[in-house]
Amino acid sequence: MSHRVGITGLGFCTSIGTGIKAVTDSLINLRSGIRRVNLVPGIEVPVKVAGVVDGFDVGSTNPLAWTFPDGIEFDRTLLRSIPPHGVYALVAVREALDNAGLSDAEIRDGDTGLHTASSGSAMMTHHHLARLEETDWQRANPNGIVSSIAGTLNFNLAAHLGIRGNNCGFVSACASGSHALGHAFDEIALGRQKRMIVVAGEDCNAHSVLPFDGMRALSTDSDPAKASRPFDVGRNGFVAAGGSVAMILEADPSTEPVAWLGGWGQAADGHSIAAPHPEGEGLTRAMNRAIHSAGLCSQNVDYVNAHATSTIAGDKAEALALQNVFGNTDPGPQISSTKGLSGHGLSLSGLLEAAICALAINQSIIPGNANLTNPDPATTGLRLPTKTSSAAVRVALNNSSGFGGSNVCHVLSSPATG
Amino acid sequence: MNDPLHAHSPEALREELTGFPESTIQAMVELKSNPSPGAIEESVLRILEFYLPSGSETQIVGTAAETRLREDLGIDSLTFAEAAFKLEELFAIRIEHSELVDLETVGSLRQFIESRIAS
Repeated sequence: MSHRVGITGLGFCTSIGTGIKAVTDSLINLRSGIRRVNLVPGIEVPVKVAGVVDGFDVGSTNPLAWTFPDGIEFDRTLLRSIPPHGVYALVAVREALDNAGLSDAEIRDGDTGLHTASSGSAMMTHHHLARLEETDWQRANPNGIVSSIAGTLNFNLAAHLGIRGNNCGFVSACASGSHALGHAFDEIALGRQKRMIVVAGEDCNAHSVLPFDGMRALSTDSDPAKASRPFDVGRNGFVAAGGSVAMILEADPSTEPVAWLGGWGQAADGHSIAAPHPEGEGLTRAMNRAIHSAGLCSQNVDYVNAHATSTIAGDKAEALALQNVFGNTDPGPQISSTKGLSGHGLSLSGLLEAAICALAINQSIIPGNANLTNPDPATTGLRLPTKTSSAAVRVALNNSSGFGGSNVCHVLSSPATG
Repeated sequence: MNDPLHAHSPEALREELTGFPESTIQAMVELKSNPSPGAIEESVLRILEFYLPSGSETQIVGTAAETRLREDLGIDSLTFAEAAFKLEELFAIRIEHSELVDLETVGSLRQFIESRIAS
């Protein structure tokens, strides 16, 4: 038996705000979360900007030295085994569970599962291995593994929340959050779980950001107002971001959900370790599969939250994929990449942007493309608003792509669509 | 008696114990200049108290020797390993897995401190 999948809770701890209200305000007013940062104190590094979560100081490798905004605190025994992005995840999941109204009994009844997405914490891995090597490989911190490897979010959150259903982490680079959500949809649609908690998060520090500079993937602009400019001809790389987002899915909810998750699709490029297929071949198929999975056609889509990260190759490939899918629709969906505001949250991005699609539907807004002043010719014919507008959004499509050519798309729809 | 914390300056001790109660940090700093067996035992037990489950009002210092560490105080295996790692870092010792397994009560813990750290 197939079940409808309702999105009943959202939680945000991101560069563009902590909490639904702050994030919505940022989308409406195009308030950027990108800041000048000093990733390595005392050393000049090529990357000057990042999407950071305001008010959290989680730069130490000792969680007991971390500081948080007023009103946010954590139990010491919870902190000992988590990476920096674990605190963002705890904040986000608390908000999402709260606004979904799930009780502790429901969370622990075996019918609630947890999917997470995170690439782990390179900073923690580096620290613990360096310390182990300093002691001639004699002395390993017992929390070194659970606080650092990919999977750290599902280890920690499942134990903290008392999850007794499905518990799994997803690793497909920048498509991880989208895979976590897509497979959570399946768990509910197929009747395996009644509720799914989906959480994605990433650190934002020298260890998580600077390795991408070696790939020449990052913007080296020092102006936070210009560095991330998806679809603009002047784009020169992405701006990395940290944070966390949580989403609650429920089977056939008895009250009106924030939005419905109607379906999803995925397809890989079969092309390159890191570069997208130049014509967006895999992303085209992933979008078509997602739309078909929801029982819709491309003409039904009102809004697309693009993956576009502000890289030269990636944004062009996505523009061509969007032309493939929507070129024959009239007038075609409005399309924006919100990474101009948030930066690129890597494993986090797919879930963040699915949550932004849910807000677009729930708040009747079309987020604008921040920093887009001179659109790439490849986008000709695509509707790329530069300001956020008020408009009913019945159907939204969320795109994401990751290394290895993974492409994952979701379709969300308004409760009003029935 | 040798300085049991020879690898640490007072500043390094404070860094190593970031997040611990100030009274525990102070006791460890004072231990450097006055490393009597009694002071070592009390300091180590104060450090272990930090690893008790949250909300626990238990004080290991002054607790009866037969009090069981796992069953009565709620110290789980990961917490035990975490506390052992901290003692290894502070006192530059190596604690074998078999030694941890044998630590069942507060009394056996005191004997362990006496033989492996305070001696």
